[in-house]
Amino acid sequence: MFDFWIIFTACLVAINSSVLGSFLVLKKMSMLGDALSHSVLPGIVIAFLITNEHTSILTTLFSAIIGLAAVFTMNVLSKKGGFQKDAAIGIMYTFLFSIGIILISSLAKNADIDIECVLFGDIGNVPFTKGLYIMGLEVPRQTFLLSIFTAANLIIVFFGLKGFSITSFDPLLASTIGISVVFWDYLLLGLTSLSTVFSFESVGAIMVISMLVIPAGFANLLTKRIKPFILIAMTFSVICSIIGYYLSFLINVNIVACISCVMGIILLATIFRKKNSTQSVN
Amino acid sequence: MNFWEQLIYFFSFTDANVSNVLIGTLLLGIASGMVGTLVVLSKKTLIIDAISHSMLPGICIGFMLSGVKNPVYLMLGGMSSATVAVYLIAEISQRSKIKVDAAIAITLSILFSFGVIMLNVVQNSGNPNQSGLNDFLFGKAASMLRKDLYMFGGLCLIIFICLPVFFRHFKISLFDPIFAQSIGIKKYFIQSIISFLIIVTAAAGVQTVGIILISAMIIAPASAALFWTNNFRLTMIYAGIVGAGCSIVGVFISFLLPEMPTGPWIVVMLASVSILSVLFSPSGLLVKQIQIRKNKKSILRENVLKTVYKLKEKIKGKKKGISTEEVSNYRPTAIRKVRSALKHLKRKGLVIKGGDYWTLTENGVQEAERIVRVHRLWELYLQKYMHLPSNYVHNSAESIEHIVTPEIEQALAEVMGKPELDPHNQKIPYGK
Repeated sequence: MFDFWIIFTACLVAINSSVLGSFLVLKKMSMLGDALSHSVLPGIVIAFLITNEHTSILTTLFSAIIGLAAVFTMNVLSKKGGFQKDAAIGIMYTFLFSIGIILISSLAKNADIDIECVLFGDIGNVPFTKGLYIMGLEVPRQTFLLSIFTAANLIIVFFGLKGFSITSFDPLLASTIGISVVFWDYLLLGLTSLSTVFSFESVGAIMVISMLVIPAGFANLLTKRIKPFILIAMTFSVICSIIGYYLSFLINVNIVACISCVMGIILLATIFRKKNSTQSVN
Repeated sequence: MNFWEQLIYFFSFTDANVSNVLIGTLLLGIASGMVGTLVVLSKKTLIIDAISHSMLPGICIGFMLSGVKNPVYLMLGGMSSATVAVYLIAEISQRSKIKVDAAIAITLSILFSFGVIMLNVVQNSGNPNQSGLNDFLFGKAASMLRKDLYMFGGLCLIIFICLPVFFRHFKISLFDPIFAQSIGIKKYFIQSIISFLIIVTAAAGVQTVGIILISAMIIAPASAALFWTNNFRLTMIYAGIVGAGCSIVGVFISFLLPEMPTGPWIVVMLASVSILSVLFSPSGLLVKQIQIRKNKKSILRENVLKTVYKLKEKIKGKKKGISTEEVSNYRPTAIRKVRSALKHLKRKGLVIKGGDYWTLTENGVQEAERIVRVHRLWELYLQKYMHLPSNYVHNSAESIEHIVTPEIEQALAEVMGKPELDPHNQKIPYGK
């Protein structure tokens, strides 16, 4: 069961992130996703200091609020304040991330939260966390929460597919026929920050970004249609998670880093091979 | 030691270690602020993230190859892997249809996770020197030694030489890229130099701020400085000052509280300065909002005054004056706003209140006539010279009447020969 829970958790994170990441990449908001995954840190830490639990309702609430507030502030800074958009992103997320790190190093000194875990996650620890019994089966708490979120996330994306895709491909058309681009953007970013919160304990705040963008980048190479796009991204990330997990045991390194490296190598290989083959034809 | 003694001790240069840190941080702050100006103005801020994160694998490999924590090897390693990142981003976005921002995020995450793997490998190797590699993530300025400072100074020297040498090139290509190309400055060349400077700054900043937060160190000072000046050279100087000041405060805090990482404090200081600049600088949000409000209020007052005048024109002396409600109904405006506008006009001596009715004073009539005159002249002008039909001219005149200066008004009147009637056959008032 040990292997199973880790792989299962990794796959859940992968599915979540790759679905959301697909739209982030299509909407050209990949770096915003990166920023968001860093920005939720203070929310996680403050909630942790209050409840002493890594994932609670309070964490979810705080992080979602802070994530959306960060996006809102970035928008205000760039649209009204005269900041460059990218500069506003760069300043906001490093600011919030710094506050998170400062809180961790000052207040949570004795608590069960450390910087390395925040950055790289601790997925290997998942099977050892306290479990919940569901139909006689002991499910690690975090995996359980993550699967609920995954289900909710997939349902939202399934029913909102039209809105998400039309606002990604043709925002102008979307606003002419009365679909609010802002609403779908914020929904996507809200889901992304929630996904970060739920994945944070297992993959960490920085590694989430690779789960978000690499599968979507891979799918971007292979297809032009939205449904295959998402399916390819999902399958790719799940397969890479499994390969990465076993590879990480071979060389005894961080599981998540290994997973995203596997993803990255496959992606780069595809990019560089593809062009060369077409060149040779020409 | 209490706070003040610590402060004096910190800045007194008596302790060699402390003065190493202080000099190093000062240099870094100035260098990163100046380089940041280039990066922000060339709108290349996203790439900094990728560059800084991708230094991790290089640093680890540099350590693995040399086996010691010699800053020269580490930084050379970091700089080469950062160069790989710049190359990868360009290649990915050229070879595939992946957009630049996604290419940046992809490169960043691949190289960073590769770095984490390398970090694990180093940690597993059992090399006793490896402790402290972690400090590169968030920086630990306190660990800066004399030999670090030499390397550090070298990196900053590169920056301080490059900037003045290529100053003109930067200026021209940033502000007028087409002109720059026409006089033979290659876009590719300038971008390569900027990327190179970012890499050097990131390498220099790793020890103080750490690789995750160095991007703020580069972006924030320049972004803040741009709110205070439009001059390229001044922006660089201000950015340097902001960078240096904030980093010293950050270093001082982590000197007081040794368990604190330096980087996050520096970033918090920098972000605060930027946010304060956005709000309170002369071109900032608050000043702008105040200006907008002022304008809105003065437009409202002029409109109210005009309405009183027009209503009076209509009743032709049958009534004593105009009530507040009438004004608010004639020109749909909240009665509260109308009331406050009328009060303000009264204080300026433009209207007087008799009972429940408002009437214009001598000055009020003059001012109202001026506004109506400008409005009607403009309508006529649009009709005569722009050949707009008379039912299209009102809205434009409605906004322009608050802006036209007496000189323009005079010119308008002269060019049309002091006309009597506007397109709607209303009299244009010229006063006495």
